[in-house]
Amino acid sequence: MVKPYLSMAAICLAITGVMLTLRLTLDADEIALVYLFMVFLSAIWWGRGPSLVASVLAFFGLNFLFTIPFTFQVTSIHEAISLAVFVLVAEETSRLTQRLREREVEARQRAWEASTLHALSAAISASGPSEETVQTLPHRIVEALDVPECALYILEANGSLRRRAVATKHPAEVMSEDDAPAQALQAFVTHQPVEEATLSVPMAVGPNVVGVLYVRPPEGTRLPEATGRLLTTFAGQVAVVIGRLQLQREAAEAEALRRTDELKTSLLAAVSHDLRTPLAAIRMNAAALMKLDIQWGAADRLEMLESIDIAATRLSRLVSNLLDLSRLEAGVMQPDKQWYDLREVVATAVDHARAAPGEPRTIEVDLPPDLPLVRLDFTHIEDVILNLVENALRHSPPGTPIQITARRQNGEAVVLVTNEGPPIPPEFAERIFDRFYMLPGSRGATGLGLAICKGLVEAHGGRIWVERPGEPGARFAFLLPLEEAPPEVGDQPPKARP
Amino acid sequence: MSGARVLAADDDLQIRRALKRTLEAHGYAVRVAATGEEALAALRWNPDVILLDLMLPDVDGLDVARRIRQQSDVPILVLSARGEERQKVLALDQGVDDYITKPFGAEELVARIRVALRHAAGQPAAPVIEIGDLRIDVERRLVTRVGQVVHLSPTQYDVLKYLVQNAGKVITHRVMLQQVWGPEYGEETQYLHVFISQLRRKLEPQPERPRYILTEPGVGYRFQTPA
Repeated sequence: MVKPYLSMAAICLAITGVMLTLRLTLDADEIALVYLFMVFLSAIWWGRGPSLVASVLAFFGLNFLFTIPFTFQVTSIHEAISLAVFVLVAEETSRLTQRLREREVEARQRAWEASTLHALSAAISASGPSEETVQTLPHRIVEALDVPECALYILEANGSLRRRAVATKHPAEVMSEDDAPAQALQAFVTHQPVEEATLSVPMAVGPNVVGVLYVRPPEGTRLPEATGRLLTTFAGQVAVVIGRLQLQREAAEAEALRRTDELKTSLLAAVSHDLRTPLAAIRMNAAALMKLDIQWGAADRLEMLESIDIAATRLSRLVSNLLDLSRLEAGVMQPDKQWYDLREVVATAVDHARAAPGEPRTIEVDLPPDLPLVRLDFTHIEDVILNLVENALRHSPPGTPIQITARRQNGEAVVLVTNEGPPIPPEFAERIFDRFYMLPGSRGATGLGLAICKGLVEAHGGRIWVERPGEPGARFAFLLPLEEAPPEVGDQPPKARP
Repeated sequence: MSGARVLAADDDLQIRRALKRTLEAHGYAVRVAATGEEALAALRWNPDVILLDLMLPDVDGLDVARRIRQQSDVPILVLSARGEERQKVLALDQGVDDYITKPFGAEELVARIRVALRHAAGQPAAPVIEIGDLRIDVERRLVTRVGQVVHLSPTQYDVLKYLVQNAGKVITHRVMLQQVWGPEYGEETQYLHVFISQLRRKLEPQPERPRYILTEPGVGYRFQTPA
């Protein structure tokens, strides 16, 4: 701060020195003009303080060196006027210069603010309201403002203010915590920016504060006023993004809820009938058998017990299908794949289907003997085949046969289940695999079986479809990828125990 | 071995009742337990075989099995539901002897109990086993089918022999690999499946519908109990 005074004093001395040598050729008016110019320059270059000192020095110089007699007194009106002019010029000029300088600085700051804000806003509008935008915002702020750290604290659904995104200038210098610091909470509650060691700016859409923008300045400094102003403006834009994001999420949740609701409704509608019918049969027959005052004949008793058995079997299938479906929906149905002979899986499923109570039906199985071992979950694929067979039986006239065939093609094993029932209209060939979807007029079905088949086959990396839709005799096909078959091993060392 | 003592642990009253009635009708002495603690306390009764549901209200069924094993070698049969293959394998690895899948019929249950009792009694397997048209002479390493000698490789024979000696009992993939190939094996189930399918081609009248070497999906294999 002393340097401007020294510079000024040096120039003052230099000018005085030069004029001292030229004293005899100059008159007092010219000397006064030179001093005035010096005061003027001092005001422009060094501001008010130095220029005022300069004007006093100029006055003394003029008085002491160039007026006769050499005295220090302000003796005449003449001298008083020259002092007043020096001081006034110094004062006015420095004031004007100062104002100009301030204007310039302010203009530069405004320009910086505008361009930074523009860049940040452009970044937001380029990527739209997405979680990614929110995640990258702190990075952009750290870059644009050159601050060590920036974090976004956002109001969660449970009412807490939690950090959603954070960025730092240097990696691994995160000082903010997951839970909002006290300043951020204060900013959130008061709707006003809070500046202590760090700056917390509330982000609001209208009257709703959705979160807090938190910025940590370099150690031991405060953020410039312009930066604070910029962050306040920008916080409003971020708030809009976050607000939009929340609305989107709420809409998605509402949609998910609606779908769950729809699922529940259709599940209840589809299943309640199928659950109640066998239950009613069981209770009726059991109640009849428990009547001690009636002497049932052996044949009657057997028939009633058979009815109970049939109903219980049907219930058991339905429950296991429902369980499968809910496991598939929950994504916990991971196949436990081992190498199996597909023919054995088919045979087991067919035995199951044949063992089911009811009118016996012909199930023709024709599988090529050279089918390789397939890696599959035995119970899952058995379930697929059983469901397809049950489906084929249900939708074909009594007495007609069901055919199961298979073929190997291009590294895939394809299994086909065909009945002599009505064709599946091509327009339903896809939707028939949707849960609870039933062909118009189909009876005794729950719309579960094919959905389960699809889920299980796809969990094996396979595919299921309706073959030749529209043609008589519905045919369902599914394929399983053939992984590299295990080698045909000879006897492996180490040698078996005796 | 009628008169044997059976301890049945299941959390469901109806199942306990049904088990007690069925088994008593077959001449067994039956005690039931509704919880794991009750089952463990009933060990003092010295049961000959234990039926254990894995879904008990107080203690995890696997824990109960482990604690029973610490005290006794009594055969344990797990009552399990379909689709719990991983749990079955875990239980078998923990020293459980066998499992039976719900819903099961009385005959199947009694057959399993007999197998368990027979293996527990340490009765040496008969030197010659006949089942269907199959005749296996363990001493002479000779297998005949309808009187015709079946040629088996040494490993095929060892797989068959282990299955036959444990007839009626489930053998997990891991146990089979370790017993036949050696303790360092256990994960190479693909070899086992290949050997089983070779054996079936040689022994079974209908390899795709096996009558002797039965598949226990996701768990292992079981040799059909000879009549």
